[in-house]
Amino acid sequence: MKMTATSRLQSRLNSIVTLLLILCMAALLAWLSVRYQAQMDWTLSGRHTLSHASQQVLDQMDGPVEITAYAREDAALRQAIEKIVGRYQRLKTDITLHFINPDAVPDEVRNAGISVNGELLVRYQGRTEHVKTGTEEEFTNALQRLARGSEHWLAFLEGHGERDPHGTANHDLKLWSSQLASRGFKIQPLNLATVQVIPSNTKILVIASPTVDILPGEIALIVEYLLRGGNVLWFADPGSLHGLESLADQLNINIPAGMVIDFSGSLVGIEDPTIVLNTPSMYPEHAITKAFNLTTFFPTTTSVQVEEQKEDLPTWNKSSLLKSGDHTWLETGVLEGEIEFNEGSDKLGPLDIGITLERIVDIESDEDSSSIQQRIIVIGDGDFLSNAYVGNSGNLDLGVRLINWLSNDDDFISIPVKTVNDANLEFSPYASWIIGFGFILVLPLLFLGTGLFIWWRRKNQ
Amino acid sequence: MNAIFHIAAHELKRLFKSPLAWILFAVVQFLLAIFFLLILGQFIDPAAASLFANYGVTEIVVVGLLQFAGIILLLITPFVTMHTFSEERQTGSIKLLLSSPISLTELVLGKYLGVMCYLFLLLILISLMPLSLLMGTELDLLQLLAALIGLVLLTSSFAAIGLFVSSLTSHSAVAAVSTFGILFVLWIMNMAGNTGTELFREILTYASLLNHYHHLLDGIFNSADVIYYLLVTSLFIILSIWRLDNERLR
Repeated sequence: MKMTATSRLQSRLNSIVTLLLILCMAALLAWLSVRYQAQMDWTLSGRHTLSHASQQVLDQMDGPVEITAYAREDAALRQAIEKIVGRYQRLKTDITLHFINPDAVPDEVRNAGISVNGELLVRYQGRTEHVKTGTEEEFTNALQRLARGSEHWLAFLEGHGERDPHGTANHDLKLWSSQLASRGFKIQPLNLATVQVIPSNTKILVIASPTVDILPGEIALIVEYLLRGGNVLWFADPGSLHGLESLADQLNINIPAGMVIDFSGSLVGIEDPTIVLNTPSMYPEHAITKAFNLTTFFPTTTSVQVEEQKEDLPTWNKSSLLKSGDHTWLETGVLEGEIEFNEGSDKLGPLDIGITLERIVDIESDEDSSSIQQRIIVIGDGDFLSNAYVGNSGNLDLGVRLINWLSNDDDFISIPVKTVNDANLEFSPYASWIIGFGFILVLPLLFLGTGLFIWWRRKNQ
Repeated sequence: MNAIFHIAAHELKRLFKSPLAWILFAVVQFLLAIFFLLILGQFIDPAAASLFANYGVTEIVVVGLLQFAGIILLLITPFVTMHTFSEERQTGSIKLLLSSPISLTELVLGKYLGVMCYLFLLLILISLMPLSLLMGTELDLLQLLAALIGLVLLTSSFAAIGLFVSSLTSHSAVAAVSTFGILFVLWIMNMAGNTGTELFREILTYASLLNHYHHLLDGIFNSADVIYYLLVTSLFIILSIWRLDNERLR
């Protein structure tokens, strides 16, 4: 073929076009392969697949889920987050993940209540949940709470100096209630003296440390609500019960005067002995504290004592929820100077500082009769959820768990850690010998020898 | 078809006639054995028991070993492929080959097959170590298979890139160093993964040779990862053919 200038140019052009075509083809195929992927988990323990329980929760959710990850620019952390979210994204494609560096948006972090590097904010149908540790268990449970979706009304009793859910003072409950609101709970202050009825759609009646006596008429309404099967969350701070003694009677409990003294706080730098410390190992077995691994602090607490069942009152199924540790006691004397345990007047710990009560209530209506499960929580302290203390350690988490349990949204999905079958190695001495010497000595020497032999043979050719 | 096998056999013979091939075998085996024993020692060590609490031997030892093996192969493949075309170019026998009735495709595929056979033998050698663990425990065999497939695919891309670079130059040393450079860049590409826009990051992560390997090592058999390596391999083989074709016309 004659190579003229034109044909040379043509062939040059030809080859460039071919190159471009090849590259475009490769890029296209690459893009297609990513778009339409098929993934299989080949690990024996199914490490990369979601458990059946998680899959079921995902099936219940219609609609997009937005996840915002507040994670610093750390490749390892972000990749780990992408990995675990990716497992869910594979089964439900409208889950979106978005990263934000928390250092860049301190206001947003504060408002949203983000406390951990790598915390995920999961949004679904206008509600949000937090996921802190990124285990499949925590994640699926958060999704499940989001999937529930029914509206729950929390009625906060007011008018007697109670802690205000919308108040920002140190003793009020704004921080805790805004977390609840973001999870879909509706906060409703309730002044019984004015309204004179507890709304029938109240899911939980919250009595948050009244400081003034409650009127007998209001007490009667509360007791009637209780007998009807309503759920109650009662924070009874040390001091007078302000008229709620009849409520305590109905529940067969006694809230004594006095304050729990706990010196164990000094181990973590808390010098005030009126602050009761609860470490994760101390929580009694209870649905509320299941898989709860945080410490909680209870400033100025009294104890809640279970009394003997009185005959003409409803029978309650009681469980201990929070206990003070060993070496604590209920101090009934004046709190000044040296505080010591006084045999006789003081009561030695460990003491219950929080209990739960449950029972089944039959509801008679015109059409049919059904039964509901009534749940009550009584805690001898309200400060731990106040704006001043709620940010400490696990207090907020506990506060959310209390409400979740009371709203009967507490089915805890337990997802066990996957086990492997090759965690142990046992070699016979024969095997150890092969592995120890065979690979590192025998084989290399064999090859080296052959190589040298060939080289030597070449030299002498 | 026969031509391909002939050329492959010829290439393989050439490789094994040189002491370099054997010494490479010895060195690779030695290095990997050291690493293998080190990691095995760590795993067995009772002091570290809590660290490895719920992890199996496959996940820790085998994956660790094969990760290291990937890096070792990255280092030695340039040495294996550097002579493929460069030597022929140097001795002038390239002109003979180009003017022979063998098609360029057959030539390139043959050379590639020869190199891959050598590397495949090396991979079999490497896989003896994880398999030896079967004497002491049950392994997650499917995961091991996924990891080995990953290693084979990884190596095949290394070889294809090495082949291509070798076809560009007549100096073996230049071929070796350039191959090494390209492989290294493609390997660490995903480390740049924190800067730039999300699209940029996605492209970089996709292009990184290391990333897809890690997925397979972990036991995730994803079609995208496998296709990635097949694409890289075929791309560079096709580019080699293209390059030689170009040369022929000059």
